[in-house]
Amino acid sequence: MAILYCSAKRFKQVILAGADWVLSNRSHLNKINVFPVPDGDTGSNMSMTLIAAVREVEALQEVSLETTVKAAAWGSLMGARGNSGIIMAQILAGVAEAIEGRERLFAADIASAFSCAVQKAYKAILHPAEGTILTVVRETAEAAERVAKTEQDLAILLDEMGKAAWSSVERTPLLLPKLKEAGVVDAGGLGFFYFLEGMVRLIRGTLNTGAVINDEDELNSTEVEPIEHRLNYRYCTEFILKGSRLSGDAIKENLVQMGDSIILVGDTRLARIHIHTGQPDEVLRYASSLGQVSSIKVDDMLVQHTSRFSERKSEKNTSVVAVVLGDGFKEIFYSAGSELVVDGGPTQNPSTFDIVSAIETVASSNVIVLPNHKNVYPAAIQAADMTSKKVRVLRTSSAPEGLSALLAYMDDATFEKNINNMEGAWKTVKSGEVAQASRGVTAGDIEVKAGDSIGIHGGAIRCSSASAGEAVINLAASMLDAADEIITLYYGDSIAKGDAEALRAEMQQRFHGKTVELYYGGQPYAQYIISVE
Amino acid sequence: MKIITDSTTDLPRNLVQEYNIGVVPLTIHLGKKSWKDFYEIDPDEYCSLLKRSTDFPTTSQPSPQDFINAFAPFAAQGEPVLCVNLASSLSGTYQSALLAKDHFPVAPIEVVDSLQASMGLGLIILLCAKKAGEGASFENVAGFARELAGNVETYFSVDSLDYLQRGGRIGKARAFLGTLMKVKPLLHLVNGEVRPVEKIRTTERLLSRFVELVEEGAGEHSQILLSLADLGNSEAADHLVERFLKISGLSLVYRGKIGGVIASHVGPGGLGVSFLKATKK
Repeated sequence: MAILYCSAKRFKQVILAGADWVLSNRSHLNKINVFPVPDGDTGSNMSMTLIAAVREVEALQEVSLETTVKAAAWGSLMGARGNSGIIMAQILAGVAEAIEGRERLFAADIASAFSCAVQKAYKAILHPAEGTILTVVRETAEAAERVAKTEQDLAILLDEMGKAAWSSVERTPLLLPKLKEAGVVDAGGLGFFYFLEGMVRLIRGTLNTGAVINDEDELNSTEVEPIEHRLNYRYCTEFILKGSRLSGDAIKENLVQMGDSIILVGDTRLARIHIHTGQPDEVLRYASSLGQVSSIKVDDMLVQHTSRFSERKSEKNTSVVAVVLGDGFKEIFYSAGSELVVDGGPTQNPSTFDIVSAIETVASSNVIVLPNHKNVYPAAIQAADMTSKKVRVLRTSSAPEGLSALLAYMDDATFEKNINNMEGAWKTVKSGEVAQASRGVTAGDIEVKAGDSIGIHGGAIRCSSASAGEAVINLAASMLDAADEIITLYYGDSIAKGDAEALRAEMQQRFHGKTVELYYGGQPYAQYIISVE
Repeated sequence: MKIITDSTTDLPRNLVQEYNIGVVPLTIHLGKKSWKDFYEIDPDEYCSLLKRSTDFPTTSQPSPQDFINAFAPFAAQGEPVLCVNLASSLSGTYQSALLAKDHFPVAPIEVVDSLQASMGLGLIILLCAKKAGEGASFENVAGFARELAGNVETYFSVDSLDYLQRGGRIGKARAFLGTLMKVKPLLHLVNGEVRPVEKIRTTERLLSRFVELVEEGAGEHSQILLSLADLGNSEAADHLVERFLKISGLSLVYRGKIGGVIASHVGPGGLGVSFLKATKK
């Protein structure tokens, strides 16, 4: 059955399929990444860029073709990482530009959208090199133009584009000597091919058959030899610049004085900039003079280089990424040694991307993630899978549990030792929370009226009271064992400090054999989070 | 031969007398008062003073002359002297002893840096005294002392890092400063360095970690020796001793009180355990 046009729904499906297929193949892409710098992150970068695109598309309320494509373009631009990711974002931006105002795409539209994308991608890169993803995209677009002249079935068009992309990928070593030396094809180009192939597989209905390259397939992997080259511009620097009237050309002209591999994408209000430079501080100072700089990422490529090829074992330290809600909690987590704290909790789940970014940002290549909520755990697990770093996600499901784990953490201990100590630490603490019920409910023999404070521990409502303080006391009493020593209260942003202090004093009287401590958690939703240990 | 040390061993007084160990005291200053550690003030008495005082204590090392005075009677008779002192990274006591040795160019005197403090040093002294008592030569015992310095470890906890910080002995445990949660830092003294181990909330977990850490040592080696010091924390210490005694492979447990100088630097509520990893057979 011929497919004659592409609607918003179909576009969404193929984007998802393409992104999914790139994700499935990212470790292979990482493995063959040698150009421009063999830092082994092309697969991860492209995956994260596409995930950002997909997230924007999935968040859409009103769905038209134009908004869908624009969302994908915007998302990928905001989430773009690395050279290949930025080029990928440009391709989507090019498609978005070409289909402005359309509700359906026909074969000829797709061909011209790709031509537009090619132009945009070449423009974004200051020194475009052939034998890279750029070549693959260009040759694919040329094939699309050719085929679309006679063919109207999108399935056939896409199939032909995939074939053209593959033969272009195969030729990349002929164009780029570094690839030939290493005996690999271009990782970015291959990533683009996977993106198309994922779409083709969806249309052919061969999803999940694993017909091409399996994630762990060693057949197609080639051992990559280190390439000796001097890196004058050793710092790979990326950031987002927000301004009012940014001039891309003027910025590029200035940046060229400071480094190479410059990529600048965006518009007059928002630009994403990538540069390899010897002085990242100078670049950032210049950028700050133009507007607001954010999402800064600076990597020492020399370090990436050596760590990838010399297998050093000196990096034994561990970093911790915690997910928690509330400014008080954030401060406590930072003070206890968490290198990065991501906002997130019951009412506000962080995205996989947020967690991946945090994992990638912290100093160590061994990272322990404390999700601190059961709804955050899956995203953390997914994030762990998307980075080349060694990641362990602990199953902490509350802020106090996470904190107990964190207190056992030592930044210079080995990864295994930290995992061991932290796993041993958090299970010793019991936690619960007191929050206002939004509606009346009967839980067992507990009658809850809307607006009452309910005490929850172990997933069950333990008590209910019109007074938050009374609910805290009853909850604590229900959680307390004779062997417990400390009751800790973390008051939320809806509770006045004075009230919390009075409650602490009252509880110290009531539970006189125990120590009652009070901290500001600042969390929304839960009036008090309490722990007993 | 004569074994001399300083007043930071925290060994029980009866053991010091039994093995006839010479003790050169450090001096403690609290407010306007000063005491010769070990001789002029009792650990319990000092502990309660410390708790009541609003001043922070300071300590000063013995002078070289103090060591000269201690060495002189033995040097005069040609009796060999083994002097083992508090870690040189924590105190100038070892330096004073070395300078004193230079005053007796021909006398057989060996000065050893224990790399330890408190019961860690006490353990080294005790084992050397036993070896000497068994009739080992002076050279043998001195060599043994050096070997032990590298093989004794101490884990200890403090109620607050204030004392360590004010006394300048915080070392890498500095990393624990600034933690907003109230914690009992668990620290490690090995090879003369104070290192942070873990921030601990409850006494129960603290004791469990002590036992785990000692068990780890016992697991790797055929035999460990252990000594324990406590201050204002005797209930916890009783409990701890009980649990240590259940570990198989533990051949010995000594228990003593933290003396004035160590208490001045860890504060009230310190608890420590020192043990020796037995040498590989």
